[in-house]
Amino acid sequence: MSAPILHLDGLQMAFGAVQVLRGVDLTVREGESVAIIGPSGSGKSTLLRCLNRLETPTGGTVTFEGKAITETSDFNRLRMRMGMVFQHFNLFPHMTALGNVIEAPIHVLKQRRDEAEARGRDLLGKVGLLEKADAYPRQLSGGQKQRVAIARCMAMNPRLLLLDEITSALDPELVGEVLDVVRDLARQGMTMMLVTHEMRFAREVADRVVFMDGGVVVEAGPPEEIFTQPKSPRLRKFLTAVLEQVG
Amino acid sequence: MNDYLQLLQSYFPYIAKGAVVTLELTVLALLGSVVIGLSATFAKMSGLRIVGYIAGIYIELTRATPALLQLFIIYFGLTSFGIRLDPFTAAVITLSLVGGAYAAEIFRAGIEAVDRGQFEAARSLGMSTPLAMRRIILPQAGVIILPPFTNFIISMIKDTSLALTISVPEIMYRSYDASSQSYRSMAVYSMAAILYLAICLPLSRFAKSLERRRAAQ
Repeated sequence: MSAPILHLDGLQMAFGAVQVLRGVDLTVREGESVAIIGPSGSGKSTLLRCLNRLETPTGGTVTFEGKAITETSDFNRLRMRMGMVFQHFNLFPHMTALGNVIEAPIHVLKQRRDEAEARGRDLLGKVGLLEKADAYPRQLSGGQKQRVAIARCMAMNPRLLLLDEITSALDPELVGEVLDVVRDLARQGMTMMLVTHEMRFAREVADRVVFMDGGVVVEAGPPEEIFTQPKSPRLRKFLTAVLEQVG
Repeated sequence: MNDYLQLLQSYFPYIAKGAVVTLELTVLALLGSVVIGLSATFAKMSGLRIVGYIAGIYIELTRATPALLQLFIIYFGLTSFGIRLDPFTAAVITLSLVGGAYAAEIFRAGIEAVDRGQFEAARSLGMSTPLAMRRIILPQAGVIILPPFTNFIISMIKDTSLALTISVPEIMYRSYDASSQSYRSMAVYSMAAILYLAICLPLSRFAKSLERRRAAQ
């Protein structure tokens, strides 16, 4: 078994009086892809956002690459090592696809422009969008935007990738192309945590599935176990509801 | 008609020279407004309580008193403290202070109009707050700000006419002067109107076209 890269111990998060995370324990190992499923409002997205410190946890500890990030104040360094892809892409609209990809490598990693561009084109090629390098986000479809967003993340060579419902804002026929990219990354051994509503995809691509409800991890295990032999009644109820929807 | 042409000949060059002063006042006051406005905006957004508080007080006080009053305080009032400014400088300082408070509100609204996700995306890539501001937020805010800021420039041009009261030889001062010499108020002030319109109308056209283009997007 590979080394743990991320460890959460009793992670808590509250927005004012509303307790969103009530003590989450979780370990992610190098090269593992962990899918987080659960009903809306179960704290899945908040969990991811606590990891790269877009939200400030109110309790517990998070250890990333052996360092307690709940204590560190150098969030920029942390964020360079932990990429995030958002539901609504959040591409920079005033920059081309390539511009989006090379922005942080040039200004944060201080790479030379020609170096960053070569690598940026390479990454855009990997997500199948080399011919769109000079297109602006408004000229791209949702699926294409999200693939650029993934390339933008990968340009920072992150150790861990956080994918926050990255297909939820897409038209159904565009979901596949984005999932293909994620599938490739998982195969190449990228460590990732993905919050998703795509059960079939979670089952296919994840090494482990974590079911969250009410701000805690209710059940976790290999996808086969979670989807075919759910133990807790809450997970059983959730799966019945979502699988019925899919039909 | 002949008579008007004659008046035009004798007074228009004199008043038109005032347009240069008006534009000088405008440009300098705009520069001052942008510097003060950006400082006040960042002070308010800094999260530093006291700094934000001071910026808030400045904006409130400036917006709640007439610009003419502020001009008189700076030009006449400060002499009580031994500070004697020449009229042009006093006008630039006052208009910068007044403009800064309005500009700060325009900038803040523009920055807040940029989707929050943009800042999060920038931060999640390891960009510092100043870097994210400079590279990601401000360029987008700039596009949003452009139409209201153009309107702000137009008000600034018109507000420079206040400097008449402390004898800065801009358009209004010179037309007032010409009018009292010639006793032909209507003719003289219509010349001033033509000058203001010539400067402001193209700007307001520009602002409208910007707004239309944004609405179309």
